[in-house]
Amino acid sequence: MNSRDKILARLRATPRPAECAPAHRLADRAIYHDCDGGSEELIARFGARLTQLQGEFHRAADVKAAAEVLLRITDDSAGGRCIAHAHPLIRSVLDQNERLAEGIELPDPGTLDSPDFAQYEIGITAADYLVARTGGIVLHAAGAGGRRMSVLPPFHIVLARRDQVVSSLDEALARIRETSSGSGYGTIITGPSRTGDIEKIIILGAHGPKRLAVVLIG
Amino acid sequence: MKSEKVSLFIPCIVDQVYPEMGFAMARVLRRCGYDVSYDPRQTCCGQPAFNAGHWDQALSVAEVFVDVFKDAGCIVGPSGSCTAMVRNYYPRLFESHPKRETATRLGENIFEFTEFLVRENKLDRIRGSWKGRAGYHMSCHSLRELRLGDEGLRILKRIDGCEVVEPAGEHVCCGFGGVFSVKHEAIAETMGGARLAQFRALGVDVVVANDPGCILHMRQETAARDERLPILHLVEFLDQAMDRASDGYMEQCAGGPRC
Amino acid sequence: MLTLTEHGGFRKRAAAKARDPVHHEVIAKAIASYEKAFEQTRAAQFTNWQQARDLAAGIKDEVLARLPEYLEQFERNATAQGARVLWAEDADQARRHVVDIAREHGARLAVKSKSMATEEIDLNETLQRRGIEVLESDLGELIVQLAGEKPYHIVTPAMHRTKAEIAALFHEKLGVDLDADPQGLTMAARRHLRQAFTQADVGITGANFLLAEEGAVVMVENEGNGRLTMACPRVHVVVAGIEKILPRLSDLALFLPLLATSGTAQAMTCYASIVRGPRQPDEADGPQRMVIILLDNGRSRLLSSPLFRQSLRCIRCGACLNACPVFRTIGGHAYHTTYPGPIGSVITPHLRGMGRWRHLADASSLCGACTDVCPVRIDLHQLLLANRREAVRGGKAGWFWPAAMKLWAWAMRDRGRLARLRDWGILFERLGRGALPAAKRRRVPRLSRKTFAQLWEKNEQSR
Repeated sequence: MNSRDKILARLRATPRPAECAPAHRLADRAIYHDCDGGSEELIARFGARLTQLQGEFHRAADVKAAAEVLLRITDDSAGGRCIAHAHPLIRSVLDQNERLAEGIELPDPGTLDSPDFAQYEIGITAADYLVARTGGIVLHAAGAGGRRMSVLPPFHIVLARRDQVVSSLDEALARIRETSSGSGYGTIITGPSRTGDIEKIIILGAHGPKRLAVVLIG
Repeated sequence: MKSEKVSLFIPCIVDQVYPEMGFAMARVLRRCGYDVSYDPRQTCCGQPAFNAGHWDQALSVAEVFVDVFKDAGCIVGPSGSCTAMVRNYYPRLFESHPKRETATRLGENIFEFTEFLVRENKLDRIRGSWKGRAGYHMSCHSLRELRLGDEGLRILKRIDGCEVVEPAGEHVCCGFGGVFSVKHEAIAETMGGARLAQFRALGVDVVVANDPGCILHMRQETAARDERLPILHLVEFLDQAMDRASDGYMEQCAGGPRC
Repeated sequence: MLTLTEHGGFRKRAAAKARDPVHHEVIAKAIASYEKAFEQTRAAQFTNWQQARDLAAGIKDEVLARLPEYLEQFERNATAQGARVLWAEDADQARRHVVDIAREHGARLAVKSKSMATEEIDLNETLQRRGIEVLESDLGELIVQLAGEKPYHIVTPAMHRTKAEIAALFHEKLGVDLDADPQGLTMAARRHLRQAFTQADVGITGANFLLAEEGAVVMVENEGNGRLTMACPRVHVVVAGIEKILPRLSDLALFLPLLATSGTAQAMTCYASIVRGPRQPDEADGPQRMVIILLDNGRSRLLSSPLFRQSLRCIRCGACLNACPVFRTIGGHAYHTTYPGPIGSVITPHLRGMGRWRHLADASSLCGACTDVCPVRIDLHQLLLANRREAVRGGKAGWFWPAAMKLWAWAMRDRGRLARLRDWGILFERLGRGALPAAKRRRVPRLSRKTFAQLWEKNEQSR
């Protein structure tokens, strides 16, 4: 018998509790404070939470305005190289402004195999959902230009549309289950990277991005 | 009016080390209108052995306890910890034992002193005065086994002039823990010191507690530190405050057997 | 002999830390800041914390009741995503799996993110002995690795270190300025590890959860080192206890906030990563290979005990350590166990032998604070009590206490015998006090001259 079978046999040999009713699934509303309201309320909630976590929240009426926001915040970042995921939403924003498009590398996902991310100051990705209750950003690798683009550069910018804001993690996870079942990697990002390992003093930018900005379009 | 009967449960620490606490409780109960009785065959509920893992020994002692109290009616004791032993743990200790039912019933009839007074609506019988600031220490077993809340505070607040305070934040253990404080004296000492420091920071004149175990431990700590911070059982405190309308220094070990 | 050594060593270490006021201050400060933040976070998020605990315990119990089926489901789904699943009965098998994988890929450098399961199997030492360098990437873990220590706390490994001590350590090991502040120290760690992430051949992580239905490994963290460890090296190795299973993705809506709140007093950790296999066809990057090692190492033994199986609900949040007045007094290192504090004292004797580790259960005042804070409602102080009982029943409690308890029970069963023993006690006490110098700080409490029973009788007669 190999170790797999031995372990499973041992587990099967243990007496099971007489009955174990299937556990209640998450009664979200009973546990957490409500996070309802119209989309404007949810957006405000998301923005407030993200800001509280020392992330930046920007709103843009349309892709054109988004391009301006992007130009402004990437300019702050003192000329470091900038890489973006070739996502339709990001493309449509970059198309609005030539100067912006010039400053941002938009490699073909196929050739992304081993870019030296250490050279980049800024990574721009799309997201799947924004979670109002926690200020969380849900993204999966295929939609975010891979597993590294959103974590290696010190400044991570997320572009999203207003219809991507959901109330709760519960809702976001339910939607992920429906839509991206084959995806290999997903991350829920809640604020810029931080550590409290030295005397519980919070320091941003431990290993991941020190700066995190969300630009919400619409 | 015929007074109600209560049977005294005198824990081993009170019997052997602090008999004055037992008398203080008896006096306060009498003043609240109770007819108090005591059966000297009782010795201990068995908790020291039970908590140390020696269940056979604990059971042999608990059997005696059950025999002594089986017809007692309402039982009141000055310890949350011992009360919890009977109420919460006898059913388990007596599992598949012929006396299980009796033992379980005992648990329904036994009460910790503060819990009893509040439950019986006897707060208005508490009248007295003492000027000063009293820090209240509720034992962990009162809090987490019996799930007591503000009973002790409500009783202490009946005393005119007494300002009652509790350390803020989560309740912290004083470090007694029965055999624990013998096996791990150094840890218990530091825990006791930390707990007393919380009270010292509040500037209390006296620490009032509801469990003789905690009191024994905290008194050892104040003695080892040469500190004049009196540690009193709540029943002793009440006894003195109700007796003398006192406004001075509360004495540890003040009341002898005058009933 | 081992029994004596471990126990005696524990007593000595515990006593030394208990009498170290500097240690006390550092830990008290760290835990006070956790407790304050915990209350705020919990109140801001949860309307019903107690119900959240009930639900979490219920889901974990369901998992444990059907653990073999869930593990097979996990294996099937993870394999379908291209991951390789290996099983390890004990620490030795797990270590061999990791070494084999490392050798197969010619690995020279492994980067690790914080993982208690790899601590449990002493993985770093093993790999280093085989010539594979291992770099801890979590800041706290890096600090203890550089200091040559074990993690002090399961969530905050360097909780016991002051910033000045860490600056001195980084000065010596990484050439950082002696007067660097936490910001500077954190950035030094970042620089130190940047290269390692891209140069390492293997990334080793633990798992906070394994999702059976998705075949996914879930890992939470704040720094981003975990994400880099999983994403950059060619090979990703996961070492996870078999109890880490959750049925499905949607359970994370409860367990992520629960773990973050109890663990670090956050509503959510910065990152919660859900990994399903190595790089997929539609992905731009990711490891070429992913190996998941499912570790038993005594867990099936815990599962087989109707009483102790609940300890497998544990999500390693560390809340019971923070709440424990004994942990606060003696710190995490005194235990000499992978898992310190209440949960460690509950499970270690079952994972590593009652004979050698029974003393851990004695180091508790049974105050119950651990049980009150546990987010998955493990009856920790009841299980400590059960360990004490098991040690006694198994004849592993030495000779002194069993004999003393027999004498005690003999006396307590009868008032007359108790009186006789008491007289002897008072005699010894007087002799002892005369004969021994006052060496001890604390006096044994003196018995009163007469018992309550004696006084009562006298008093009632005169009434």
